[in-house]
Amino acid sequence: MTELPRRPDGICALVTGAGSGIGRSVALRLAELGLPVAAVDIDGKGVERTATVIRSMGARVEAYRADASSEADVARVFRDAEAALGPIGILVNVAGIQSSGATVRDTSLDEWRRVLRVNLNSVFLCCRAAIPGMLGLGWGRIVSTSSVLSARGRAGTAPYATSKAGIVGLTRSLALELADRNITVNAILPSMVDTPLVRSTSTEEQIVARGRELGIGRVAEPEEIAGVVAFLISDDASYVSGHSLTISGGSYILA
Amino acid sequence: MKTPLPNPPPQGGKGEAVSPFDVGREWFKGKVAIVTGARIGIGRGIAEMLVDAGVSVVVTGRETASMEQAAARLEERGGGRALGIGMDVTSPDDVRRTVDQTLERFGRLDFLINSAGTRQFGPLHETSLAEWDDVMDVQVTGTFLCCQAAIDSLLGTGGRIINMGSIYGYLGRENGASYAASKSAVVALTKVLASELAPRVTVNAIAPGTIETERRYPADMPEEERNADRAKRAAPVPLKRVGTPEDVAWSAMFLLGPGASWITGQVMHPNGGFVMP
Repeated sequence: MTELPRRPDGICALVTGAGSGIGRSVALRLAELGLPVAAVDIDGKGVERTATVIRSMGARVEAYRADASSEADVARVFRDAEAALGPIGILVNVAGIQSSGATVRDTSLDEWRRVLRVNLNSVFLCCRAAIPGMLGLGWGRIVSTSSVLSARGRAGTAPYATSKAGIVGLTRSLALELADRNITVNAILPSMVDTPLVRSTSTEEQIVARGRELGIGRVAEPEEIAGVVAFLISDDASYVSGHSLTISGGSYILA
Repeated sequence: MKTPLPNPPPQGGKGEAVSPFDVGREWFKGKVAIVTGARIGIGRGIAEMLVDAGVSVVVTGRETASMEQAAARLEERGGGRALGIGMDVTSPDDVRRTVDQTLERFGRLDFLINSAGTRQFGPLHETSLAEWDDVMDVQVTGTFLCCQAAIDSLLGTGGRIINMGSIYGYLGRENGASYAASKSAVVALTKVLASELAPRVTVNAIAPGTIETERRYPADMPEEERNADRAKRAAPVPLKRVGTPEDVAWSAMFLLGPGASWITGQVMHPNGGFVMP
């Protein structure tokens, strides 16, 4: 019988967008699982708050204020995190921004480029930075946060939806490149999650209304996304790769 | 008075006998298209079929001289007229100018076919940010800019947009993450645009499988090598051959034609059955 690949000891997990919302929940969840966590966010205060909580749990954590879409920042963070916490065996890409809600006709080229850079280039750069170390470990887990909007075609979401769909194509390709090296690469596609990012652009009424459109009748809590990530980074998911996992409370969304 | 919708149900049915070919002939006559990336390959194949159907076509590519030659070749076919324009799809000014010149020359715009593309292959961890950005710029931002510049004209005529995806946007492609990501992204943009421009403009994508183009098989490639490559690529395809630009062009003609007036936000997959999403 084939011996199944096991997660090596002494690795750490790097989470982008860890200052709030989904990224924060993922960082806390991975820390609970006993993994040292490199928490990264462009919001320095936010990521420090996440680190403080993790430290109070008695777990190892380093907080990095960095822009995941900056080649230089990504190189620095991966170098420093590896030196402080050990080889990075797990990468969870959560950092992202929403777009303004404008239609394509009224979207500025600046906004278009900014959303693609922050949401998609960041995933490219962080994956690229993580691969050599994972190849060295002979084991790795990459989970990137896409969105059901990548597949839904909702008006007024073009830069966001386009960037999130790009993550899916990247994920499928990278999964094939790394499939025989015990490195899995997956994407998660949540519908609306109750996060500070969402609350910054939607009212309570809008959030409740969006939740009612879903089979489950409510939007997701960040912990419900973190739980899916915990599965995908586990050894139980060793044969799951290149997958786009929809997290949408029962509503069918073609992906 | 309410403007009638530009995408009425197709003619025929209700007991009348109407040849679909006659309907199609009338539908295409006098319409005007822009086809980007039309110097060779799929874009060229679509431009040729459109001209043959009586559509006047503006063909664009990076070099002015070669696009003027391409237009001259199209005009020799008879049918619709042709205009060649050198244009960089990543330049908002170039794109805007092309739409303006189209309207100046032909007076209207009915179809936009975004066929311009580029590619870069190599393991993701050996891909430079510049290489990544170049693929995204041409495929994704280029499609965005061309759609944006054409929207007002297309809303006016009740036109159609076709964007070019790829089989690899669905399957992923080993050593082609930038290409696959860009093609997945184009499909998402297609769906959003379809929602935004309904009910006046339909927006669909075509995701071709392996297509025999001048890029893949340059004229000076030895016949033996070409046949060996064809056979290798055809082997896993259920329909046992690689595709041609005409295979894709026929899909485009359907999506641009009178029978596709109730189809928007969809993807057509001319791929010989290689993937069945």
